[in-house]
Amino acid sequence: MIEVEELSKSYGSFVATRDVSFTVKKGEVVGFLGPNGAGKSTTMRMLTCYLSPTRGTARVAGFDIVQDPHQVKLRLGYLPENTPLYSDLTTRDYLRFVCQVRRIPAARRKGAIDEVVRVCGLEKVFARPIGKLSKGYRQRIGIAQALVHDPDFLVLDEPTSGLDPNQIVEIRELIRRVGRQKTVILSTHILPEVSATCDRVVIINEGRIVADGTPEDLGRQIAGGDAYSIRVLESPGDVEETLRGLAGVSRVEVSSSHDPGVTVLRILSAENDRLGLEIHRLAAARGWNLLELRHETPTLEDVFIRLTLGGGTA
Amino acid sequence: MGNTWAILTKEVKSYLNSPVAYLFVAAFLGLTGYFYFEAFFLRRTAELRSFFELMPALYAVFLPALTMRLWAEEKKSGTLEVLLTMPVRNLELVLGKFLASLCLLVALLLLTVPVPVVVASLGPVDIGPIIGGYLGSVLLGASFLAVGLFFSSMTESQFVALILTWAVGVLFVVMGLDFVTRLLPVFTDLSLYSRFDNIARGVVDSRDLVYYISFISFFLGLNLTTLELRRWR
Repeated sequence: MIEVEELSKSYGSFVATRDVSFTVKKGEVVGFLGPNGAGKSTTMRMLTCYLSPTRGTARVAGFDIVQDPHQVKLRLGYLPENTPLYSDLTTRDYLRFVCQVRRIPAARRKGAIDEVVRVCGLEKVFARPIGKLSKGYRQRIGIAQALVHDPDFLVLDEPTSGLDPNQIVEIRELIRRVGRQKTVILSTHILPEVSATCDRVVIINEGRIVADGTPEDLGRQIAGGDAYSIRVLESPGDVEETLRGLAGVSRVEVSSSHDPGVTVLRILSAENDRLGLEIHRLAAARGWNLLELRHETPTLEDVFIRLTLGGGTA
Repeated sequence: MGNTWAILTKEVKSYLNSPVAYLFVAAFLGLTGYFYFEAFFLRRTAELRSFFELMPALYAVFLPALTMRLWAEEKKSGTLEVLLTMPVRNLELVLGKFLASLCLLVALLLLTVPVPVVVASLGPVDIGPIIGGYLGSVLLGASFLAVGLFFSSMTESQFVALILTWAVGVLFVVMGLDFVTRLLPVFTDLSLYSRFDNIARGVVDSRDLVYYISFISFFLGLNLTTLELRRWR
């Protein structure tokens, strides 16, 4: 478990993060989102004991990052932004070096290296100098380096930046797979990535946490409740009136349709979480020709833009 | 101290994997041989004093190039972030890097061993000054490496580290010059070179050893401090 408590860092008068608090439970993959310069990397650097917080603290597996950095470092795997690697070492030498520093006993080193080489697909570049490898391979070596000691906690700063779509899919798969037994925090700009890999999202803007929840929860908060969209082969007036009568419906909007005779309506509800079922029953009772009934979730893009451009909290 | 060994081997591998190291060794050996043997046959004596007398000046020029990248490159490329988030103590890092550069220096000196061997084959030599010369070379060289390593930890730029280390080297050369020590005798005790002369003559005085070891420890300590302070910036 990672518990972050009012973590703040300032450089002179510049405040990089302010009272950042959140927790990540075991087995959870949390996506850390925010515009450039929002404080994502600073927070990660504090969590990994690279920087000390100006105020506040965090605990990793119960160990305080300020009091007990050594214990924290033993349990963490970290991929910094831009994947810094030693370009004059070969993949093999680099991973061996990491194993040594990570205190993996000599007898288990070969097994540990073989395992990450397999998981990260590094067989072909094992004997080549890192400086001569493509961005995709470098990124995978960075992840291998973070995984080789089988840590319980993983902090990945933009793990898929600079990869092509195939590689992105591979890395996401990898993160999801290892994320089942580990506690993972990853930062990214790519929003679909969060939906694909993360159980929860923490959005940071201008150094503060502005949202924390599952992508669905956040969407619901932004939309002000659940939204359903229906298409019926009826005239609008009667349908609209009847839907307004349903318990918990806050608004009904009629949108235009390209198909003649088809009416499209959007129904919003603040508190009725079984609205879909009720709409369905109503349609059946009235004998409407129901073409489509859909639960609308605002995309993470909507949430992100609303929270980081508009300012304000969800 | 297992981590010191890990850092040391990694740095030595980095040296051996870069072509610069080989150019460096070739240039150092070439110049040493040239300066020594240029006058050797004129002197017509089998002595190695003038061989070891070359060391201070050559070190001042060459050794800063060995240490300049050790921290600066880690800072510039960001690998320092990976290194400092691994369970390694700062002291282990400093010692590992220092000992790696020292290994290269010792290897360099071992490659010069043919010089005394050749000279000994041409005439009788005194073994004491040779051993003293090598011991002094290691101590003097290690002092330069400690200074260079410290300046490398101060900056992201290898070039800046190089220039600053050169500047300190020149400062110590000036401190050891005859007219300076005559004006300000205190410099005789402070200079790296006057101590070196003593040891190279074959006279190993414990005060000289203590001086070098303190000098090296002082700069490694400064280096450690810059690492410790970094986190709190």
